[in-house]
Amino acid sequence: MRAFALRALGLLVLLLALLVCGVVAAQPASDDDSAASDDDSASDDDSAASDDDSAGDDDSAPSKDIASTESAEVDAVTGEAEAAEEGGAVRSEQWFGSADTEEGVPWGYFTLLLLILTTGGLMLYFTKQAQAGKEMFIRRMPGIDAIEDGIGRATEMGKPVLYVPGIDDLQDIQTIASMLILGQVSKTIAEYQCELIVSCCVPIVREVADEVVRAGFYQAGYPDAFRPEEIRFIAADQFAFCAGTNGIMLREKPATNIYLGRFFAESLILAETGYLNRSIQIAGTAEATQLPFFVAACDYTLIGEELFAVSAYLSRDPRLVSSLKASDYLKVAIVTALLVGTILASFGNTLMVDLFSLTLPGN
Amino acid sequence: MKRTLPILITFVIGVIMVGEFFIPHWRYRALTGELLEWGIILTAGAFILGLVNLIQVHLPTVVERGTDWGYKAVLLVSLAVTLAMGFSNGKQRLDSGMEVSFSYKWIFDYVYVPLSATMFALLAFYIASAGFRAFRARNAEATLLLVAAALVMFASVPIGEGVPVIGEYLVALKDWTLDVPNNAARRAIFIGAALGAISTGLRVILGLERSHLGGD
Repeated sequence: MRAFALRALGLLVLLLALLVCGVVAAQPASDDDSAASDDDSASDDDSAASDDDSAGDDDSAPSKDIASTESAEVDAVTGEAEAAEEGGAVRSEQWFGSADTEEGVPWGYFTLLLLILTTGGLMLYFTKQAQAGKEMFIRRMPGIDAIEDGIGRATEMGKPVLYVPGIDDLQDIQTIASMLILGQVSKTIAEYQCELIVSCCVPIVREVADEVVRAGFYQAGYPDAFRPEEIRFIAADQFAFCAGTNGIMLREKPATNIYLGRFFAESLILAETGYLNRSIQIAGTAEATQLPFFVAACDYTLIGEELFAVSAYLSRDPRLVSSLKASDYLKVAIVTALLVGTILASFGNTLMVDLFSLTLPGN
Repeated sequence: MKRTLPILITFVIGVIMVGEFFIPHWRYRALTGELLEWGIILTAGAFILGLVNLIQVHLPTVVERGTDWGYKAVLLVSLAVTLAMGFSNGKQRLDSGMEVSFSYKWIFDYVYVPLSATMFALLAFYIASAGFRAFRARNAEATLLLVAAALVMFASVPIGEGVPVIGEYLVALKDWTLDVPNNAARRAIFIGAALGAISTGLRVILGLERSHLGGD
């Protein structure tokens, strides 16, 4: 724990150094801009002075002055707008909150930051407790238990397991969660000496899946059983990927299909094809619009947050299970805040509403 | 070192990118923008690896006349032709604004778009078959689902709204079902998923989750 804290401190220093580098790298362009605008305003002052000198000589001078002042104002506004916007984004000078809210205290951002820091703190606290030997309870989740059963079934039937990590990019948290689960699944598959096919829609997800499965096989003690050609990039287009994955289901007849990640309209097409193929199907997504389709067509469905608990559940690693406990505590806090907020709002008090209000870009 | 370095990089980049949500200052955004550009470059580079993977998976089967080699040959020929057309210059404009050659636009308009539309249209039949299974009244929960679905579907079409006497009550009940119980369940899923996402993100950033690196 102490070593980790020291490491974290060192990294924060590195983070600050990186930040300074970024700021320095971005500095010259802004200085040039401001210098140029300073020069412009200086020349405007000069012209104004010369206009003042000639004011008594020329009757038309006042109107000219007004015109030049107006044009200078327009230039200044345009210049400010250009300075304020770069590539369509607001160039904010604020160091906390939203770029869109120039006034008031951004309470919502404080609350969210507090929630994240509290979760992190609770996770580290429960991790320490787990390392000290305290038992962490985690409720049974039939959908996750079915993953191992499905792998066993595929092994007995001599057929492969098909794993689909959704169709979104790697930066999506559901895809990240899916990759973490794939690590555990591939380890179990290697132990069972079963075949695994991973069908990917995004090339970089395939590359990560390749490494994750390789590590899983290596960790299980069967590095030679890993076959990189079974981690397949199908197509970057949603329906082309769907057609390709359906083709795998119909030709290679996997005994178990696992869909974990972010899905869109292709979810039901995949799940129904798997149903027609008589495969055991386990799905999990936090995409609320696709959940009904999975519930209708799959044997087991992991709903919302369950997707993010799979990795901890499968590994039974006390550090990971303790993180679930941390998020459960936070859930209790949020439910309490919801109840208190509802009561306060019913009496016309907007304290909780203000505390949880965020101004998101574009809203 | 092989494991520590990725954890260190994940921590630093993770903290910087989380900070982007809280720090709107343009100097900080310049830094995160730079990192995002690195990400875009990596993603673009991965397409080349994807291309290599497609060839690695399918070409040996075609060469050895393995199972279903014909489908794989069609895939590889389509890939080669589309790629070649993509490299040729032209003045045809796609919906995305990209200027391509006539042959590429022809492939896009008369092969790609109809095939995509066909796959999407299949969804209607899949919904019907999945709905038929889901709405069988096997137990109390399934019966409740059937009644709620029937109500929402019936009240959403003009004939439901036009039923004498009870039409407007059906619509009101449909709206209440969607706005209250349905919305409450959706929000519960969203809140749970958001907390799970925070928890997963922190596990990775703090180095507690290491299964993607091959465990401990």
